Amino acid sequence: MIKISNLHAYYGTIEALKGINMEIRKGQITCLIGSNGAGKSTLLKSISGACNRSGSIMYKDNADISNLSPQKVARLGITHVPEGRHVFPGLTVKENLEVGTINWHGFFGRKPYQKEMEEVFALFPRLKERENQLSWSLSGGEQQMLAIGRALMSHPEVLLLDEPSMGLAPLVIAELFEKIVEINKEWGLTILLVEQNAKLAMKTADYTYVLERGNITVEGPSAEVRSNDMVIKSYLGKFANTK
Amino acid sequence: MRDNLNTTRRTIIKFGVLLVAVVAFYFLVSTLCTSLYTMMVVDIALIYSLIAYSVSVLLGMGGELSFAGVSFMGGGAFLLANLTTGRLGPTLSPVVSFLLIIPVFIVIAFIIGLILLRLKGTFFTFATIGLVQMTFAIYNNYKPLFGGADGIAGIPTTEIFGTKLMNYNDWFPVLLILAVVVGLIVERIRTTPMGRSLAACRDNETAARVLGVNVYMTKVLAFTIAGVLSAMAGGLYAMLTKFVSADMFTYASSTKYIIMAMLGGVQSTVGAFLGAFIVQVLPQILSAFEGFLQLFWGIAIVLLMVFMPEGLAGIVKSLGRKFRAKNKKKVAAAAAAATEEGVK
Amino acid sequence: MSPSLFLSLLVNGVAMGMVYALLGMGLILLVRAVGILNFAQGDLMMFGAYICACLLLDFELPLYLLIPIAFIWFALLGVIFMFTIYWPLRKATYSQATIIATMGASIILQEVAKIIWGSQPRSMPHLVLNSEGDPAVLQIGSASLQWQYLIIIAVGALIIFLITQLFEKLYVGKMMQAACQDSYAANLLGVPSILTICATYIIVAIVCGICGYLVAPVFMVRSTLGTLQLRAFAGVVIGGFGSIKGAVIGCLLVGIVESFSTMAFSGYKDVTVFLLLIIFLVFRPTGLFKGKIGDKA
Repeated sequence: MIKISNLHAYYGTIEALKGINMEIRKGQITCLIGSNGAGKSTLLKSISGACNRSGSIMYKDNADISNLSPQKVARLGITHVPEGRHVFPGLTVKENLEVGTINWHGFFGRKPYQKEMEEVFALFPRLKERENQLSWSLSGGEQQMLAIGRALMSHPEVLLLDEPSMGLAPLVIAELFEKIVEINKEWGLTILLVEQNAKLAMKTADYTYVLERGNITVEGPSAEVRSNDMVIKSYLGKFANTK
Repeated sequence: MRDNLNTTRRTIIKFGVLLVAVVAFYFLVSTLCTSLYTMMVVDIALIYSLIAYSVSVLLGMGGELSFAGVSFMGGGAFLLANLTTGRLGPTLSPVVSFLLIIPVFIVIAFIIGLILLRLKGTFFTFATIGLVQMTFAIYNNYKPLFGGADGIAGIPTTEIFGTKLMNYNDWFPVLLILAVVVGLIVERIRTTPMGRSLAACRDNETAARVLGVNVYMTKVLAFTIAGVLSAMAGGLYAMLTKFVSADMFTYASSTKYIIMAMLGGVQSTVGAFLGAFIVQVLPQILSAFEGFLQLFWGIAIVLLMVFMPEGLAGIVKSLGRKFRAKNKKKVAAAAAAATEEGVK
Repeated sequence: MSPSLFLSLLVNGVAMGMVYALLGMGLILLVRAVGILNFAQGDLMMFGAYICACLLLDFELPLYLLIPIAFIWFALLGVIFMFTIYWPLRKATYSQATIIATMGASIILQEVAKIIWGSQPRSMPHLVLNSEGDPAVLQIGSASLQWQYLIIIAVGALIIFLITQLFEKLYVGKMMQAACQDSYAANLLGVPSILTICATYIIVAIVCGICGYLVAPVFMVRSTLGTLQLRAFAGVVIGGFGSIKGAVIGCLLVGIVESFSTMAFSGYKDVTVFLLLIIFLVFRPTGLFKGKIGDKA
């Protein structure tokens, strides 16, 4: 679905990504793990257009998105859920979801979005309960659900999730990741998942990339990567695969 | 042992440089200022530097934007005017009145600070704007103490240790020494525990509080210091021009003082001094463009904030950093070359 | 105090309060859009007043032409203002730097107005004149209420209503709010943030311009007209910064207090207003109404 070749990304003069080659396959959950500062968020920003990058990013084999602005990328069906949730604090849950439709609804459009909203509420019933609550007052988990739900309102084909588990309690994370799997399997969305929680990410994803200081060091189906010695040592801990 | 020697040596060098700079400045200005008018501009710039210091303390060290400087300046000026012209009963000499300003305004500024600093961030800034508006209205209207629109004239000539300061030339060395000494004190505050607490409050209030800093009182202290400095400036102004009136202490003037500090670099005392000078002297140099002067001033402010929010001191710092980085590279390259040679 | 005097002062106060509320509403919109206080708000109004004076007095345009042309000029002013002041500073690390930059903008606006139109104040006729060409007056009992004030109240209320509807009910308004509250996330969803922020500035400039047109006959068009913004600031602060409703109520309060204290101690009316502000803040440091967003200040 998305083919990345020789991607370099920059923050000012600092090179955060040093020539990445990746492929995000349609219908799969691909995950990207790595320690802090490895460049994971930068990778997502490179795809969605939120940072300086050079190289080739091909979408669906026919669209070159390596130079597009975030708005144009979103319009093509790739929605980026940034790390830290970024809900619109002064808007209610319902209004947050409404903003997600800007892509296809148009500024002054009249297309209805009832159906989409009901689907999101079905997926996240907790949001339905709080539909008229201002989103700054939601808990972290609820805000994360809202951020993802909002992204789903934009008719995406690809979802870029940046560290959805950050700052959440383990039970909430478990629930959230069940929903992520549901979005992939039932809704048919391709997902690129960036996570610090390597164990959880590899359990959920079909394919894994390991990013270290701007370079991909290991890649492969998640099961293989999980048993890779180096990965175990760096990211999973000695006893990761034991009971 | 070595460290102590180094620091003492560095302080002596710093003082030496300062002494040389001050003396050089004195002679430079004396030769350049050929008329009483130019001398007056310099004198006033030196007085303004005190207010710039006050901004440097409250905004630079404390992170709080306050417009209250003019209120205190007016307060100090009017207090001195009243005391020296005997309007309140007793007549005191200018020097004594000036010295009285300090304790009086420590109390006043402290009390006002206690009230205003209960407010956070922009609310505080607004409250200071409100204070300026209030004091201006009072200065402008209450005749008994402030002479209303006419102001108070007839402040007697200042006499220090028997010498009368008759004109702007006489005042210059006095003001220069005052500006330098006060500047040194302000600079010293930066390195005291209070100064460091203040910086902590500026950078991260929650963290400072958790570390045991009484954020509220630290900021009140900073406000008090700033208030006293401004009051002193006001008193000196009255002593210099021998006349005070309310229209010197308006909201419009307060922007000027903040710009002075920001131009030089709000976190640098030397910067505040330079900023005061540039803002005072530049209009004189550019007086040919009379009509457009204010417009240039406005444009300059915007450009300054966009390109140089850290002021001149900030530019010097970043140049220093680049220089040191280049040096490091040179040293590293030389070392690398040397090791290669050695290995060979 | 006689009831007619009371009524006069009240109407005067509410009218001025409306003026402050229009300025204050723009202030809140800009605080939400760029997170800083616009110390040139009053000067946008002043410039708008000058534009209207120019169109009315120099070009002698009839009202139905004056309004659209003035709106175009207001919008232009807003766009220029945004790109020269907001845009270069949008990533500034020093929040005080942006405030001071707007102060510079305030000076620039005043000086440009002086350069274009001279420093002599210009007088604008009231909107409604009686048969002798004097400002028309509504008589209620023994109170003479100037129609200008009543128009200010009516038009002001209408504008405030329209703007609140736009921002809080319409789809477009929610986009604009989103872009203001978190432009990064809005961008990622496809909201054209630059466009919406620009639109916010245009709306604010138009509101300020209308405000200038309304207030010009009362105060005369002069470059210092912008100082009215200080009362608007006071009103916004008292109202609590969080919502348009708070700003409007705070500003009306300021207008009324100011009007009645002019009666009591004319020279010291500033003292009353700002003393009220300070006392208010001391007892309610976050203003009358809590902001929409938890602890935004």
